[in-house]
Amino acid sequence: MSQVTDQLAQFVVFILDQERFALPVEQARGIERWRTPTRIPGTAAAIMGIINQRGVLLTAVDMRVILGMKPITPTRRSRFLLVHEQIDCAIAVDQVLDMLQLDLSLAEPTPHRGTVASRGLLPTPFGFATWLDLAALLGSINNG
Amino acid sequence: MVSPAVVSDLYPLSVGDQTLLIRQTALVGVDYVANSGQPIRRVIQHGNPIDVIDLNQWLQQPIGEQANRLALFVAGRASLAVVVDQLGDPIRAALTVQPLPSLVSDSLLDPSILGIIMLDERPCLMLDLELFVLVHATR
Repeated sequence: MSQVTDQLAQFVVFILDQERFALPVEQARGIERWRTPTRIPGTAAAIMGIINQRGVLLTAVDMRVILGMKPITPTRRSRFLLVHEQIDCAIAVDQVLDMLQLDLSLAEPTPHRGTVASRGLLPTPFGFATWLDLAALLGSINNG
Repeated sequence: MVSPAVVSDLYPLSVGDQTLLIRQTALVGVDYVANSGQPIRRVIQHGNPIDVIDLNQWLQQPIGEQANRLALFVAGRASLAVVVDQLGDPIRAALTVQPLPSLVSDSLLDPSILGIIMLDERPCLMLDLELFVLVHATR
């Protein structure tokens, strides 16, 4: 459930290629174990394929590719972060660190990264995490 | 939104660790080809060289270690075949072809990928093999 009080909000904090990122819990539907997606040739580079999430087909997205990083190499810590932003999809992440209540008033501005925007840098116990603009990220998949 | 279609009489194709499904009527012949561990580009059929599309290469899947792979000859297309790791037993049951999620379908230009069939809870591509060779022969 969303827990927003004044400037406090809950975020899922995760790692992509040794960098920390954060998404509001309102956009996160769950965290699921890794499984190899069914590949669909001829799609955008960031689309890893399709996974079965309890009978529902979800697009598996390599967020690293959208952010200009090298594609994910799955390890035992890799997970799919199930998200919703107009559509449901599964974002491949290297590791989920925690679900944290973060103070938005402490957010620092960040420059745009690649072709998509971040919404700021948020201080966490693990260090600063980039607050991702999920709509912009997913919107860039078929426009990049 | 595309409505799900129901299909039956399919063959499962093993391509690396993925399974593709095709209609049985799409196949007119099968032949063994020696497995060199490398993608196959051509086979000899009745003394004639025939170009092939290696589905492992198309799906970026590793080629199996078995001694032989299989060349599949496609209905209505004598000059082009496809190569896969293995051909499974026919599936007679009626199965539902689910449409691809919009994030995928929005970027997909290949009309031979008809959708997804769940087989043992694993999403498998349903391929129109006749259309596939037509599309890929011209590329």
